[in-house]
Amino acid sequence: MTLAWLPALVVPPVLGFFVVSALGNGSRWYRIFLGVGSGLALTSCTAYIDLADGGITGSTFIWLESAALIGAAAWWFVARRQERPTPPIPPWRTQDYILGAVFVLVVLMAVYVFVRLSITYPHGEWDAWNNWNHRARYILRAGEHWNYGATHLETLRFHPFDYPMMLSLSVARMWSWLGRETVLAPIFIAPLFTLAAVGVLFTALKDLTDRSQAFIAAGLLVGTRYYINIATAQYSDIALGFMYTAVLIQLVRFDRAALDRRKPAALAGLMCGLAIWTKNEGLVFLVCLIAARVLVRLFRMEWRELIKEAGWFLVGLAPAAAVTIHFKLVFATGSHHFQEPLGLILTKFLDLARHKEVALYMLSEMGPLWAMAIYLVLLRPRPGALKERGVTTGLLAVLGTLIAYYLQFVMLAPQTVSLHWYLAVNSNRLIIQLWPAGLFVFFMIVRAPEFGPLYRAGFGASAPTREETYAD
Amino acid sequence: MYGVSRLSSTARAKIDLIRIVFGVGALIVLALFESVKFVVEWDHFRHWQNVAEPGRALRPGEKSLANAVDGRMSKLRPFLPERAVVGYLSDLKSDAYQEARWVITKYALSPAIVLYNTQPELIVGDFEGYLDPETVARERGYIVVKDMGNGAVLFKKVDR
Repeated sequence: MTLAWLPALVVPPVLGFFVVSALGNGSRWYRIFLGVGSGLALTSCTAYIDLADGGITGSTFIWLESAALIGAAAWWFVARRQERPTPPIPPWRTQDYILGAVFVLVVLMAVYVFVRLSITYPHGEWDAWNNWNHRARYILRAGEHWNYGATHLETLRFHPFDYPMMLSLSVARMWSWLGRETVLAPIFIAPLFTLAAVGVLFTALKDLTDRSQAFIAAGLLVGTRYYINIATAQYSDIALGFMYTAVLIQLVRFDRAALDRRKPAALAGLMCGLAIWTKNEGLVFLVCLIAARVLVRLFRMEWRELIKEAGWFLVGLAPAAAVTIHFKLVFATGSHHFQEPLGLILTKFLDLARHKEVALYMLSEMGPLWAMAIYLVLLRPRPGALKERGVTTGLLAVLGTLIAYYLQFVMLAPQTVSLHWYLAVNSNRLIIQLWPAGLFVFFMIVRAPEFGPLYRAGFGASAPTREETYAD
Repeated sequence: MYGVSRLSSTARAKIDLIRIVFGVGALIVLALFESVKFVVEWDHFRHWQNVAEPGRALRPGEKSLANAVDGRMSKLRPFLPERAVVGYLSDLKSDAYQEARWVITKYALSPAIVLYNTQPELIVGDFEGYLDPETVARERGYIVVKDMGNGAVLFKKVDR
């Protein structure tokens, strides 16, 4: 049993690292963090192949994982010859040390709360028992009859069997490796996705903008109480947020790539596919992302480029999308979101009081925005930031998804429950999905803080010009 | 002229420095404030799980509602037939907590299907001590198949 932890925990990040490195650019740490999250999702896809073949048997998916690992390692080995040397790391400045220390302090406090919550509430929160870990138990305990529960919809009230399986299969896969059910599996998976999300946000901003900027963004993410709470609740929203962020990072990398741009596009597609495999909201994000990208490209009349990048994006999207489509066609039941008649949905859309209630509630959930607004006003936007296609696409995709979530609350919140209750249990989770991606876009737009030249200028030394101060 | 220009540049640099310090400071204060608040109120979002239901404490040794109900109810699992469909009966006073505990019960007993009614032949009872399971069984025409002694009871309907 003890040794079984090793493959259960090590295979996903290693597989993810090989795939991401074969497809990706970016620093080694960026690929490691991206590999942790994507690897967990990819191994859930191999577990699904086994599941669809008649339930997790404990041997088939191990063979599948081994084959995937060997294949990905070989792919990476071939692809690494084309790797370009990473640019030199800029030296640490005093401000980096100070902001780094603040970040470490925030992380330590988050770890303390994480451990305490996980010890006291090892089964997580409502959705963990009602959906994600519940289905993991179903998968393992019912064997070949794992989908039996879908025939009794009442038992899965609030969560019909149309929810994608990424998180449930990640837990079931780990239990299968270990040969027993243990609460430690979902408890381990939760911080892995959190670590992956914080890690990709930090490393991407460090590579693409500035180390201090990266510390501030990552500190703000870890310092968000509800974000850490949702992570310990063992919900899939953290995993989804990680995937959204990775997609937007890859789009920026795609636009900045000088030579081979196929790989970043394919990796963005892969992460988007894994988002669809994680939650139904991933599909909403995909639609908004495509709309945003088409808008940005068409605004500049870049038809050919759009078609070229769309091809590679779809190549990356295909594997996880195929798994999701198979699940939806073969096993999933209908969605409970579209059970009301169209007339009622339209009536709700025309109800202005409903719009007001949803808008005010969602705004009240976005507490940190005041501080970010101050930061934006004081630091000012980075010149040319919105001319970068990836940044603009990211901004439009995040805003579009937020609007789609808003409309979902207005139009699809069931009439049978109070709107206030529906918002109370759902809106903060949906907003937190977009939080790391929103932070990434925000800090790509805002100018990075640079104290050094200003400090020297303000307190005696020769003053630099404005251009020198803000030279990128 | 040179001195004026230099002074102006220095003053501008000071203003820029103050601007950035305040901007970064706002975010640092926010992150630290939220983190410290979370350390102090670490179970702020979960405290509803610290009771069996409003006004009734968990039993000694039970850490949280999910732990407690999962621990108690899962003891009935070996006594359920394969792919069982069972009902759910509880003596709780709070509807919201009853629903939450039903959700945890189906999690504990999966892959059994636990319906939120008493229609099936087999019924699991989740008792907090307000009612005696034997009395409930007599009144409703059930027999007690298994009483785990911790509020988790398995009933079976009998033909009258």
